[in-house]
Amino acid sequence: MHSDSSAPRPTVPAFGRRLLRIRLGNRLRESLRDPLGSLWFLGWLGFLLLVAANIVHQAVLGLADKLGGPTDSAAAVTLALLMHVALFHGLAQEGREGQRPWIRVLPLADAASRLLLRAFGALALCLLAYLASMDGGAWSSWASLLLLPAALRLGFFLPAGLVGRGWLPLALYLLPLSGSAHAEAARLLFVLAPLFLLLPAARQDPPARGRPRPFVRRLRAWDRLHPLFLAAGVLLAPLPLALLAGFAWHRLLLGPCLTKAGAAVRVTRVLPLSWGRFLQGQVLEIARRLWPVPGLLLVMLLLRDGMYSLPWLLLLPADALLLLSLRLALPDSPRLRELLGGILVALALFCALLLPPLLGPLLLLLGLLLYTAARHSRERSAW
Amino acid sequence: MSDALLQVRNLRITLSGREVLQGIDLDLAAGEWLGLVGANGSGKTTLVRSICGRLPVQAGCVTVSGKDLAEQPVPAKQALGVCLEPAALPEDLSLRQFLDLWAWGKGRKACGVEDLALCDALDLGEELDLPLGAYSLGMKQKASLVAALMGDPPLLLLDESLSNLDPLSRVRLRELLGERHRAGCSILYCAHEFSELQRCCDRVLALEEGRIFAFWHREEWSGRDLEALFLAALEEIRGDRGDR
Repeated sequence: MHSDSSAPRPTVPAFGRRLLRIRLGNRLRESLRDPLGSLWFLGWLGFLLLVAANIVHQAVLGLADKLGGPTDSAAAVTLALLMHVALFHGLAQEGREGQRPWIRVLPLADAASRLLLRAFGALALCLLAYLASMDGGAWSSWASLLLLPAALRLGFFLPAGLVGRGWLPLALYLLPLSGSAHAEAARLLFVLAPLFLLLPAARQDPPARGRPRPFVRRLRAWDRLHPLFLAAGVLLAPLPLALLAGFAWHRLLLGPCLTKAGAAVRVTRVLPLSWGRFLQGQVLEIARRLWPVPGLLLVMLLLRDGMYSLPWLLLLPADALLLLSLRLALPDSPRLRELLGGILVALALFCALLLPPLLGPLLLLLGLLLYTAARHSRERSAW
Repeated sequence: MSDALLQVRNLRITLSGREVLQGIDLDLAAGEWLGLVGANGSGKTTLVRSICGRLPVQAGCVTVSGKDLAEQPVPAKQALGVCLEPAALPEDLSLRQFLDLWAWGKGRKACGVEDLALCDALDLGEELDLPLGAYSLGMKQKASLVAALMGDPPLLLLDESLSNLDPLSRVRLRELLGERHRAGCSILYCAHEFSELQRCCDRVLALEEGRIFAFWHREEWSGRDLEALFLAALEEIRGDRGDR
């Protein structure tokens, strides 16, 4: 025997990781030869963008917290922008409210993470468009549709936010509307409402010595209402995107990976690897019994927290669990796949109906794309 | 305790409600080449899968090199060289990647020059970096055999492993297996080609409906047709069953 006694005893998970590393290397090499034609590449790029967006956002919010700023993401950004306006109009005291570093940090972080999230959204849609049409030309229109506003925002807002003050950054901040229309609408409403309601009153308020001006106090009180707006936006806006992205993960990335993973687990049984019985017996049995739980959990988390939060990072493992358990519970069920596709389409259409007129057709189109993709999935019967 | 390299005692396997193996007992001595024959569905592949660990032992006991497969699977499997079915190979990996991975799974850093030399000998040397999905059935079979032979395992499990090979590769592999056999390697070999079994094996067991119903030593078939012996025995046992 040629065994290397110094090498650690391989385990099934280590074998799986090694296999995955080889596969990733292979896929990456293939993708780099034709990056735009590779669904795999686009999908994983999307995932990396999502992770990057979260990391950027959370990191800068952490910094803002350290600098003494608020940590509630959207509320903090809005407050920061209003501070810009207030300072410009002399409504807030420079020394008290204006010179706080987080006021500059947060909008930049928000713009950067939004750009990344938009890029992710665009990629998720590209995947679906590509899947539905199998036409390389379709994806670029989706990409430009969603990426352009974010790019514009970042490109204009960065210098304006750093140098300028007043209405310009705010106007640029409010400029783009994109796929997550409800969140944008909620944000718009939230930002504009206090401006109209509070600013006139603030002009008449005398400055109070040693205390924040009443305008700032009212602004903060208003800010406490922000979660309500945010919740309204979060409940509706990210759902179609979540469903689309989830579907893309299912169809394009995890399905094939898990099929291969199943084969790999079978193969590893004949190798002298430890943990094999545990992996084969316990984990799969638990997944089989609890198959509906991961899906429900995923939906609940998405509804609760929206785009910026942990569930998006959990999408991959949760989806893997869901798919794995579905495969175990109903290994060959075209009806189930059709049902799931139908539910996805219905949700997308439901969301589309609630949108403003100009954006409604966009999501309706997405719903149709989803339906096409679901049918395509059913015909190929390879989730 | 028996000095058999492989010991199977009262092995029973039920798949989808059907008892595929109904109490198998067999011993395979070190350096022995044991053949397994039987009709389709008689339980040969299930037996091999149970011995190599792909199917869990539901009842009975399988011991390899004195280690119980159920109790000590890792040391028991270290003695095995298993020829995978072509369909079980990872199609997106190249042969070189697969062999490296397989070698690592067996506790080595990577496949060695002797494994690559074996690939060359089986005309796979030029195709090392081609994905296995692009291989023909025979080439996949050869790739599986290279993996099975890796590291000179004391016990080889071959399930119809020569059946898809071209004549030249078959001759080369027969020679190679003969060399391993003469060096002390034990081989459990399932096949339908009686000429192959007759030429290579020291002993042949016959399975029917999950039971061993006959066996022959080399001396018993010397100068006779093993296939005829098998068919006669099979006819007899099926006749007996019909009577009952």
